[in-house]
Amino acid sequence: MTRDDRPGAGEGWDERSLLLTMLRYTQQTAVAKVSGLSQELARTTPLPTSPRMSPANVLNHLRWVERSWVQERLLGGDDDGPWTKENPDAEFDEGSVLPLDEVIRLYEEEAARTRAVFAEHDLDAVMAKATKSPITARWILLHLIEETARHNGHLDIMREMADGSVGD
Amino acid sequence: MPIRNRPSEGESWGERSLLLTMLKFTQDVAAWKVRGLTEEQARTAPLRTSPLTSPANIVNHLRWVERSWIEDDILGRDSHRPRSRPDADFEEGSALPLDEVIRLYEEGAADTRAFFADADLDAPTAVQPPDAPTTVRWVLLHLIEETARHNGHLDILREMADGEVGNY
Repeated sequence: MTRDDRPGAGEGWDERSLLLTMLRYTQQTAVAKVSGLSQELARTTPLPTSPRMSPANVLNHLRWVERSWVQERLLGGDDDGPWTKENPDAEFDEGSVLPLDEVIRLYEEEAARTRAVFAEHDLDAVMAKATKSPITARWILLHLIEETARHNGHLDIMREMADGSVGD
Repeated sequence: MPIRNRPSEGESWGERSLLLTMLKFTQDVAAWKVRGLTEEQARTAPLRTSPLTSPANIVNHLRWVERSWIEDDILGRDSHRPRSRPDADFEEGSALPLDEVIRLYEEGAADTRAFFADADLDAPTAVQPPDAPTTVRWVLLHLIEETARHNGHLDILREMADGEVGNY
């Protein structure tokens, strides 16, 4: 599958189509950046000051970020993330317990679920979990693009440090 | 002024307002990530395989990315982006003092936001790739994605330079 940040032939160029295309591009880039790494390289944390920052952990974090924003906060489902009071970053750590293939499979599954929700959901709708500010579906979608892209920047560098692979 | 990724009290949560807020967030993060580095740290490229990837060079590249999308692609004029070599816009970041790199970036970033505040988001760009009817809305979304991804690079470069970390 080619990764493209623009809609393909026959796809729309309206607001929702562009947002979904950009989200899918960032998600597919995240997968591409960890695919093909050995189990060991995927779990390597090259920054001494950030002992959780490995490719596998970042991808697993991104899965839970989507699940938490979309299934829990937007749609009002339960918080079923692995984080606890004692370990608020447990969703990173879980990425080193699961085999890399499983980290990728679970991420892709969640990514597709997220896109399916945003393909239908009213972008102006305020999320189910109430907060002080009226956070809407549109904001969540845009935030996920921004957060995934930023983590892709981390993955770019970690991948380059792991095996020298570079590229958009 | 605090860096924010949501509209302030009283600001709109409409499409354009959210896009502009998210763009400004990524721009503010980029400037914040390089501010406070010494001249030497800002010019250090710690990845042996990417000798142009230094904090100052990335911010300078981001300045030209914005100018180039708006002037060259959307308006069909000439941004005068340095093109003597493929990555000349990166290299320029090491020739200018860091303060100047930041000043020019922030000046350009404000111009970019002013442009998108009034632009017709559905308008086609003056320069069109052969198979994709690119619109102003796509360019704005792309700038958010590209700046966010480079912010991921800056996150790690900053951490390697002086140990500073943080989302915003």
